[in-house]
Amino acid sequence: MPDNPSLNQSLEANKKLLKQAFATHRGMIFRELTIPAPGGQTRTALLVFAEAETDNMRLDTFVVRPLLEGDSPGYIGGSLAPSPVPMKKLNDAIGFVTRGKVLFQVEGTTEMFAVEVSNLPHRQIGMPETESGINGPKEAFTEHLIINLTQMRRRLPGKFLKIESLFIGTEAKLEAVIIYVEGKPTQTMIDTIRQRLNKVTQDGVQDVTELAEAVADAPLTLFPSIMLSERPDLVCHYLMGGRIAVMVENSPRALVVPAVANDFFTSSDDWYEWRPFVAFLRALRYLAFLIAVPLPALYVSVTTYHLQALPTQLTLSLLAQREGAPLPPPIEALVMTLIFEILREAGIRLPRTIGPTVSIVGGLVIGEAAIRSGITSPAMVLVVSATAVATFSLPSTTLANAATYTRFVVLALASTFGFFGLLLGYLLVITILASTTSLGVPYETPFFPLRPKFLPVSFGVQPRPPKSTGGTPSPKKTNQAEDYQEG
Amino acid sequence: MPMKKWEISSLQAGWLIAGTVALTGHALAVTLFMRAGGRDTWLAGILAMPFGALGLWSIAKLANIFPGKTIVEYLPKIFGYAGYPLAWIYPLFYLTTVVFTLRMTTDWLVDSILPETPSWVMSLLYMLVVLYCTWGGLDVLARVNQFILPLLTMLGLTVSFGTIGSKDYKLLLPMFEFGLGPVIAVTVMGLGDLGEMSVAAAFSAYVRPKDRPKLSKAFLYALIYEVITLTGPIAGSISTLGYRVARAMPYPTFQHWLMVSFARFFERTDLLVVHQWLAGAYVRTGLFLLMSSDGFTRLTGTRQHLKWIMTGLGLLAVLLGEVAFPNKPVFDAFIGYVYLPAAAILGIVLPPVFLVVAYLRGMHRQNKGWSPGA
Repeated sequence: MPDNPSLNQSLEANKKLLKQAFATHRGMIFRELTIPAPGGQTRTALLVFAEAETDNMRLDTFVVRPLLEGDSPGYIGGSLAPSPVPMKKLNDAIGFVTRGKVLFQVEGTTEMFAVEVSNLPHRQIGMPETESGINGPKEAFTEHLIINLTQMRRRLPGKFLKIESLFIGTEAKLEAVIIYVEGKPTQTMIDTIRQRLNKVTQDGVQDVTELAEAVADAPLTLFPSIMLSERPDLVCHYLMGGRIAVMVENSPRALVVPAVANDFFTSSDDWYEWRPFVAFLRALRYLAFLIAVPLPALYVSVTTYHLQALPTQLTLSLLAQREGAPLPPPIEALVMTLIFEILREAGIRLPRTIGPTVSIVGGLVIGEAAIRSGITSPAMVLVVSATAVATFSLPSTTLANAATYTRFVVLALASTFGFFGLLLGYLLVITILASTTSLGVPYETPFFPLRPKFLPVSFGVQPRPPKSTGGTPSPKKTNQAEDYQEG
Repeated sequence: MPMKKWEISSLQAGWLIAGTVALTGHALAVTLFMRAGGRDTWLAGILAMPFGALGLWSIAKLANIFPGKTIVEYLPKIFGYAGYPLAWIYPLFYLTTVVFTLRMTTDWLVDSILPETPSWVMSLLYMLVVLYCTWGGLDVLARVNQFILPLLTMLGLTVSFGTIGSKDYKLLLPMFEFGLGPVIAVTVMGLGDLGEMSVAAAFSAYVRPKDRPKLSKAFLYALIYEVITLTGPIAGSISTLGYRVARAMPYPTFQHWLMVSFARFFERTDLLVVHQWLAGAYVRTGLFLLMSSDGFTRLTGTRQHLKWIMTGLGLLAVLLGEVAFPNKPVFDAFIGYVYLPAAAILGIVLPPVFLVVAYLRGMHRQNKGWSPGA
């Protein structure tokens, strides 16, 4: 038997195929109905559905009753019922049934149809967990794609919200949607996303994050080039800014591209805060990043190779603190940074009620004990703590992770070559940033290449746009993504 | 490597040449400038500026006559077979620039901050990072430069204003005290410095077609920037130290950093010079390595192996740097007698000749978008 046989066969042949396919499935119902045929005759109709995933009321209203009343199989239930979709291949049929649709075929025909009668169990709309904020809406996506799309449509009513559906995978196909606002992203961007998603052959995708590598310009980039959001309001903001969102079934998050570096310094509250304050916070986060990456490396390079760069009093104080320390500064910095990372990981993995306590208490106790026992110097604890605080202030966890990896690389270079190594690390990071693109948009836009008109937005200081007069935004004026790519 | 990765805007082109050659006047050739010009050294950039403008204007016009063609491609078009030997000179010049910039940078690092580290180790590491950048194409290098150049300028301005109390601008006067000889000598060197800009500007083929008409303007801004950044630090050194002391120092422009302090506590800001030098040399080395590899691969028809050839040339530059330039007197002799005159010829004397010949041969008519006044 071929892998994916055709379903354009007699009722008996299709029934046999489906029986074989669902032999190991529990809860599949094969029901045969005797329905009226033209000329006062009767004939058999076969219904196949999954017991747990099907809404019996809908099944009865949209399929069973119309068939018993003699409706045509291709137009059952009248105009209010979901349209029957003809099934061509066995794998498609299996996929539809497992998603709560009912398959049916009437004796004497060679077409099998599917109708939407699902009642899939799903979580109710809840509060955002990873992007919680003080201001703004409090709704988050769920694992139910239809509900997620409803939330989006409610926020962006009108004809300009476009939702394209496609199926990813080879055997167990899952529905994915590409969402954008008409006229905002370039057609090239939309086509690129579609092509990349169509190339996904992975079956059983459980979360949209699994598509990140497929959607990204380069699968292995140090800095994140794709945004993930669990908040429909934020995704709508991004869509209005010319971005494209991708969602899949069973995933409570949306993937948003293109994403530039500045997006990862934006917190969910930034959209609803007083704008000048947002600008201040954004600048603080950039500063935090500039501390989080090079600070341990700078400390090590100065204390190991370039003590002359420090004021004499500070040098004497540092040397006195390090008196008797068993480890040289590079190893000391490495050990302390690793301990901090372990504490951070422990804080994340532990239950939310005790996680932060363990991190803080662990940090305090270990730091204090390390200083008292002379294993490390107070200056080193100060440096590692400042680094930790700076890392925590980054709003994006993916950016914080990137900062962590980069810190280790720069620390290794500075430990080996002092300030020269530190600067090599700095040049390397700049080059990586300059090489990164997201859907063709340079990662450091609007700074490099310079886009003066986007700078105020990047710092959150742009005045609020005038009230909309309604209608579809003009593509000419809002094609921001194209502007991003201009030189 | 896709051509899209090489396309840059006219703005990026201007920034690139400004960022690329600043190191020559600030560090690599400053001792020679001071020795040649004495007190009048600060006039070098200003007097050489019109000639520099001519060279850059010619390169910008040639880019419009031969759209999308690099200098090694259009020279044979202008001169026929006679253009090929000339075309080979440019990639060789670029490679030479990479070699001596690299060696001089690491030599300075050994002298100033890492006396026990072998220079070849630093050269190799530095080159690997440069190669990582150049593998990304001209576009990546241009964006790196757009990050680095403002920072370099800001730090330069900081030191300039931070030492303003120590400066006595009367030390710049009187001009021409020792006659025209020193002024002419240093202006010729200035021609070399600004000529380097035109040589570097030969990447104009990769400027986006819609931006090519704006190239002349972008290059003019770059030239003004370069003249300011050449004149400023030299004038600063003379007005701070006096021309006799400044002339005796290996790197007088960097002595300023020793005079800057923050809050009377951090008094050794000279470590920041390492940033200035390394960041400036990074873009310079990267650009000349890119253009050298581009030129050689185009001349030999091996463009498909660009990355490998680029890597090979980079590693060759590390090796040649160790062998060809054993010490500073050799550097100075090379820069003074070979490099700067060659840069002046290749960047200022020859491009107008190329332009005139191309014009006389009617090549400008083949491209409708170009006119002599454009």
